[in-house]
Amino acid sequence: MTGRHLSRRTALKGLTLGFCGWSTSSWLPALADVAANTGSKPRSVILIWLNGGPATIDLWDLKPQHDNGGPFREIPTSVPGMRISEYLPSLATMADDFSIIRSMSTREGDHSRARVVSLTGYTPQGAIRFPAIGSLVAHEFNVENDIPSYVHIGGRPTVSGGGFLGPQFAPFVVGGRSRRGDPDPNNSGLAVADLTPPSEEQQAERLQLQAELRALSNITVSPVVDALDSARNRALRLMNPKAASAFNLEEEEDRSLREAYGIGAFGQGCLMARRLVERGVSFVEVSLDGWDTHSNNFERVTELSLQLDHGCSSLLKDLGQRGLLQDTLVVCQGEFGRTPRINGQVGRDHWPSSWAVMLAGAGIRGGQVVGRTSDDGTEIESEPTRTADLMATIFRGIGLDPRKQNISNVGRPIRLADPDGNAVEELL
Amino acid sequence: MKPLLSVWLLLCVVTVSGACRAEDISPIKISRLIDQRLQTDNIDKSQFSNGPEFLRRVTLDLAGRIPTISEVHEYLGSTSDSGRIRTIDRLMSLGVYYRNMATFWRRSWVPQADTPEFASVSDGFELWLALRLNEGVRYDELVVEVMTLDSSTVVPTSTTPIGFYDANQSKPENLAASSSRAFLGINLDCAQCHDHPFARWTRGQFWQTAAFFAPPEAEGATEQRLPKVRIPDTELEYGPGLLTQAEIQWPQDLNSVSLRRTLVDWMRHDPEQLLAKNAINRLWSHFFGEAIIEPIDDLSRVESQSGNRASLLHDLTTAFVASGYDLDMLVKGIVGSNGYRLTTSSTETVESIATASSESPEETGRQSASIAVDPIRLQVTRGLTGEQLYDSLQTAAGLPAERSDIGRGSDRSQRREFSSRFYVERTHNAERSISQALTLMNGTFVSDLASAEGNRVLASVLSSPFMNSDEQIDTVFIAVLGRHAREAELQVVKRTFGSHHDSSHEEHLGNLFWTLVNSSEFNTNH
Repeated sequence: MTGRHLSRRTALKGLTLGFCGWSTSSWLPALADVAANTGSKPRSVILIWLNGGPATIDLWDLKPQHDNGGPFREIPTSVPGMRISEYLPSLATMADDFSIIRSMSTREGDHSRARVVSLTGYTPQGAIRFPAIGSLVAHEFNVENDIPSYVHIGGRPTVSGGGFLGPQFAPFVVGGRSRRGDPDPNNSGLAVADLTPPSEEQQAERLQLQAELRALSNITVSPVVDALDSARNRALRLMNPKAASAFNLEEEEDRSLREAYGIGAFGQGCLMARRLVERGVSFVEVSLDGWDTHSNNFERVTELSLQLDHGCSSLLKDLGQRGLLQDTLVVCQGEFGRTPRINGQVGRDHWPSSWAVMLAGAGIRGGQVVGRTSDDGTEIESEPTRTADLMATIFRGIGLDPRKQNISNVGRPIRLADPDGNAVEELL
Repeated sequence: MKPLLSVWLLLCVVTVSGACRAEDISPIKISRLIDQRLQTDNIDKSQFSNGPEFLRRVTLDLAGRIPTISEVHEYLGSTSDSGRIRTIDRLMSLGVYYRNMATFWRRSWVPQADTPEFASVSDGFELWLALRLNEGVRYDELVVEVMTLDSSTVVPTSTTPIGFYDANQSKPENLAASSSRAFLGINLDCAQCHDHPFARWTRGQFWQTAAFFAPPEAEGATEQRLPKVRIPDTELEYGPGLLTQAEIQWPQDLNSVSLRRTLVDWMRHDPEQLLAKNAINRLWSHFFGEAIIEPIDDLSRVESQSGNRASLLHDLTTAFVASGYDLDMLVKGIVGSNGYRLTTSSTETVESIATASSESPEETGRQSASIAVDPIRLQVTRGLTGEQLYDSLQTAAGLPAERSDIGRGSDRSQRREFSSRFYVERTHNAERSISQALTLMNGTFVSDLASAEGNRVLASVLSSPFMNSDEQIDTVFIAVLGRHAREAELQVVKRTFGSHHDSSHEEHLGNLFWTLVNSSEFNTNH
């Protein structure tokens, strides 16, 4: 805690000296800056978040022999015996790169509670402000960077602050201005809001005034002032054209690659995730909304699956070709699964008892299937996996000790992952 | 729990016998009582905030915005003690005072309304609160009104506290947890699911409280009997029961309103007086950042039973109850105290008076210290709430803070939208994200205010040929920071203007406005 405060102070001091924030700072050398306080090699996580609770019975664990399976067919993959949905054809060709846990079993069936538990790894307890896993990973690696270390793309993040880790590790939101989480139709370009200053001349005078007046300021130092200064300085660093360009997809010259990701906000968000990971960002969430399919499940899941297939397979391929996949763990999940039984509106309802996640990349052995559900999909027949187990697996995959403790806002030490959790060893 | 309670009963009997009567209570008495407890009664005047710092603080706390240019000039013209009291009286007579306090109480009681899911309830609930506070309704009556709302009488056009029920989805278990937390400062949330070995409340007690919010069951054609609630996934059923052993007088005419009235009657008359204590504890945090007892949602902890924090809370409770739960008197007493006047830069000195603890202020801020010798921290620097920030930006630009939000408009106003983007949970540990910083620097709202077209202060300064350049710059400082520009500041501003000769004078002043609203000084209560 003290160490963090010190380092932030020092960083701020550096910024006040050279008043034109972006003439002196550079983000390139920062990439080599391995976090000194943990000694672990910085890795990254990309979380593909299927918002609303995906029908994983129609993605990763089909039941074509049973009434619950619905009309979808299974297709074989590049891994013998591993079969997934016919609407994930590109992913099927690269199953050696990823693994599936088919025995996720959780308890929360309410969207907001399940999201909080899925993303923090803990059930809310009184006043403790649990940070999201993105904040935890960003905090552990603590990579010095002009770009925020935890970025959320599309819609609003579930945990909007940095929890007890503070604002420095809060998710930085790209696109999706609306508080209600529905995509803003004018913002399909995934812009970062308010990133560009009005004009260069105006900005120069403003920044000079700011630096000169700050030097004369006699305002009392306090945690609140510190937090304000820190946010302002990090915002200025991000406005540095070089840093800001991380979010500029126009820089991707390979048109066919851009199209392969899918032209929608989700596909382009996956592409942006790769650009960010390439620049040392520790945790990126890319959200694909619309999985709350209480009605008309199969039509909607078909369309969503194809988006997921394009974005996710291109991401894995692209990361692999750039040598980034070995240091980037990709997780694909939502807050819960959906009822195996098909309801009267040809839909599926909330179902936390048995569902599936996909994992790939850093530290994860590909081509595995963990756990098994019953023929009707309603029960876990082997290796039940809880959120805490999944969390522990992710932390281990990127080389972090899930039992590492941080001091929370109530003074109680909290481990990265709930100590009840056990990593899924066969994936590591 | 029983022995603890009997000690409390005894204690209360003693204090009640020596208690003050309503006519004895005045704001000045409350101020003195605070200063005796804080040991700030004979404090050196040099530790008080200066005129501008105090005016800015008290205006933000009472009116929810920074002072206007004319308010600053008026206040600096007479810095006498009577001027200070006059200013407090004037601020408390403004309509925005009630709007500001309505937002504060709504946030305390219905914090869910700050999440997107329940955002729609906040307008109606705050409107109801603002009207009631304006009418001078006693605090305990406000709680009774919330707790005994007859939802069958609510129509879309009526002004009622129905938002409390909506935000809790009218579920007995949600209402039990929320009403205990909001009105008594009791955190029952953990007891909902399990018995914790060291917790004061059991799971059974949680569900007994919940049963007060369940509809009575019909027995035969006319008779009603007490409802029962079942813990999900279990066979356990509970009827209504209180958190203490107090005897219950069940109402003759049993219905859902009379059942809730039984619960709120107990809240009002319970000797622990948690209803009053919780109100004071929360209100204190509005004026000082940190509450008297932290965490603010948990008055059942040992810290609230003994020590200097408990004594302060106890004395204030006695006075508040004797005053007839008079919120305005309590507010006036707090802002009139010496403790409230302290400058932020003297915080450390006061801490050393209050206790000999050697913990650094930064440490206690981040990780709430929970030791018995825990100093009461006064006047820590606080961030602005989203509403304060919006209203202050408007005020700095000489514009009225938009009023449409106090009406019933179904579309969310610009103020609502902006303040929810800048939402902070507690002002003394307010955080700011990069996105928020970007919005304040490059967003259209501030850009518009940084030009004469969207800023009445700039427009009037630019059209005042009798003002020289120094006076114009000084006016922008007063408008934004509530104080004069210091000589050194004037010099660097003029020098900077001079080195950017391509900009027009309007652009210079617009850039100065931008710089000041993006400063930490503007964005805190300092």
